[in-house]
Amino acid sequence: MNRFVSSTSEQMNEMCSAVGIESVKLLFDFADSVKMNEPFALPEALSEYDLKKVMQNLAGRNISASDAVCFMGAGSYDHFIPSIVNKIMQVAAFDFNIINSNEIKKSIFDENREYMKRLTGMDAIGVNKRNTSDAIIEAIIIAKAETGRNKIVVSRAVNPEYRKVINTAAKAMNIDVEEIKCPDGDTEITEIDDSVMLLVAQSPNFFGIIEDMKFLSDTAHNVGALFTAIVDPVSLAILSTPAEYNADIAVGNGQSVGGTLYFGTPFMGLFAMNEALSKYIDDDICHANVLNALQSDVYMAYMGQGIEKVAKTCYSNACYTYEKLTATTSFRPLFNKPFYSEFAVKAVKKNVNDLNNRMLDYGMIGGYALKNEYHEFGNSWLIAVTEKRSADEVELFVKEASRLI
Amino acid sequence: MKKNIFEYGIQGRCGYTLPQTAIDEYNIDSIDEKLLRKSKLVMPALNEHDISRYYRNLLSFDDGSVPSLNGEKFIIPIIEDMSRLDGFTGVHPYQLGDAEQGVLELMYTIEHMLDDMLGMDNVSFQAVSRMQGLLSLFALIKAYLKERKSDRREIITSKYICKDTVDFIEKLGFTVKKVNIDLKSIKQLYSENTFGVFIECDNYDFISNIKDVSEYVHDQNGVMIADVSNIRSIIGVARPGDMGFDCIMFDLEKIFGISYSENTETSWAVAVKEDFVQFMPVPFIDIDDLEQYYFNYNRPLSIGKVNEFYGNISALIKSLGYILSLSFDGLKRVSEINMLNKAYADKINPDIVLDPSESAGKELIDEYAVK
Repeated sequence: MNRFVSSTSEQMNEMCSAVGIESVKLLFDFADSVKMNEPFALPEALSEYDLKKVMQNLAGRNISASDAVCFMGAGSYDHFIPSIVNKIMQVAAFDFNIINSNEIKKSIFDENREYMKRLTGMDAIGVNKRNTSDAIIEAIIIAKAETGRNKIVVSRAVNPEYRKVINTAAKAMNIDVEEIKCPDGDTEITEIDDSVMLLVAQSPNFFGIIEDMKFLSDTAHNVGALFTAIVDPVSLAILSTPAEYNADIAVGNGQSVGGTLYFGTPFMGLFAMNEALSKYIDDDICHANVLNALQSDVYMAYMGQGIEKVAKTCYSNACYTYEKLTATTSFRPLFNKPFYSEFAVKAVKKNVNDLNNRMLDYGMIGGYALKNEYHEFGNSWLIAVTEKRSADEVELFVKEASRLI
Repeated sequence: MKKNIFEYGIQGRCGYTLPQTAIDEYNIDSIDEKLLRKSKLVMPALNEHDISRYYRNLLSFDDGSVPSLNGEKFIIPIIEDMSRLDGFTGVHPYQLGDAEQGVLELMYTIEHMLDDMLGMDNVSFQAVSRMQGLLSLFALIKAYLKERKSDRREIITSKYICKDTVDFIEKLGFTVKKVNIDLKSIKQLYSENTFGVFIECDNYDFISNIKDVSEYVHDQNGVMIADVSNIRSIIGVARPGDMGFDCIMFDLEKIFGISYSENTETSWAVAVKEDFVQFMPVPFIDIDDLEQYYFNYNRPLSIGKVNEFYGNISALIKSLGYILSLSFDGLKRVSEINMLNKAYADKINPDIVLDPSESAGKELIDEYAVK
């Protein structure tokens, strides 16, 4: 008998008699016309220990940010997660109350909303979405309903992953999408016309640059379009908040407040709106992921006021790395704009993809190769430096990168 | 009234430490003032002892609600542990292919297992929310109709379909017609403008006549579409592919017992038959000549991406763990017990509405029915 089923054969027979059937097979009579003839192929059921070996083998063939020093960001960041987060989550994963008690669920979401409210300053916070893309699709639906117009304008400095999702969703909904260029790293806005329903921009943007969101927001509002800001919640501890620049909708990557890298596994999508749109708020706690919300709550409780310090450390570490890297002859600055914890440099010689390969041999995960998505910026490297990176790590990184190139 | 986390701490208390970087602080004043935060941020002040006490209290809170058997699943401790391995949680999504072979193999393996299990030709795990699942499914169908130069825009669904789903389908420019899922009603409603039938498999009444329905729909050049999240009880007995479905979506969480309850760790997979594979989201996992796994973006007619990165890896680890632990016989047994529990519960107390899962067992159902 498989260890995961509770009913024994005797119990099943007893239940069959109670139901008035001879065999459990009779319960599947309704599917007679479509029954499978042969079982699908699967290996023999694994014991607990053998399953552990299979999984450890798979995990062992990946290089994780705890084996190598990670300087890669581009939408997924290697932040420090305190032990207490994992400890509480291990308890919660087996906790029945958390699912059964609406009161506990509500406490968890109310906390989560309060944190996001304080960080973004926005009036109305919906239950968290699965991730940023999920929140963006929702923002498009709201903008369409609110304005009745049919065009989205999106900055090219928005994370390419999000832009691709916007394109898929817009195409399916018969909405036009226009991209604004960013030759200097920040959104180079010209006039937008009054057919635009939604302007989407990100700050810090994909290149780490802090955008002038107030200006973009005003530009959208001038023609009666909604403005959606994509934000990094941690950065809001020091940077201008969506409320301060009058964003209509703020969405964001919750991974930076308590989530691991996890190969891009969705953690939490911040979803906030101003008062005027609060009628679109989804308040139903059944629609959101209670465990991820709890994880983020514990992280925020641990950090408390220290979240400002996290943001400032990210900023300082990035500035330090930038100075060191651009002081070498191998790299020069790509943009000249204020950045938060991520920045782009141009590599003078070697292809940065090859460089990343070599860096891995030295135990370092290098930056994101910008030419994958931005041909116009050539052989450039997008480097993210979180609060985890130390002076030693940065110096080693700069030394090896400029030597290997 | 209990204190919430913001009232629980005492200003001045501090619980955090940050990595010691030995990098001097750069003054943020060098950033233009208009880009900086103006309002003061106030956060709770707790130390770790407070946090642990607070959450222990919160989680042990009992509001007297009766444990529900509705969709309850058993959480397998080893699988929970394996999903927390550093080699999974610490992998960056843009890492080099060489450094992520394990997770690529995981995705490849489970995709091919599910192809077989469901009788479909291709599975994508990119969508993580129901909305993204619906978006992938109907964007696919739109691309398919366009390719066939068809301007049909009407879809027939079961009359029990949930309102959110109808709203979303209509936003994509389709018209929804609701009907009982049986051949006669569908024939009556099927028009020149109909492109297919969409079924949410919430109970199994539809299965007995599904083959006739799909034969009819295919004769009309239509598409059979379904949300099969609730097929947990027929895995090992029948496959959506054999029932004639062309495009299906489903929540891995519901089928493979990933978490205690719905919406905790959703992962919406989309699976299709051969004709639709070319429109599936990119990237997909492939194997090169050196037997290395890689992300293949070469699908010119693809609908693109419906989500950032590649989907819910944690749910994939847990699903694979579940499938490997049960194997075919185990999965089939689970289906049988699910069905039997349901029939038994209906028999002993027809008034209670529940969906007793295999982990409930006879004793629990007896107990529940008595309540």
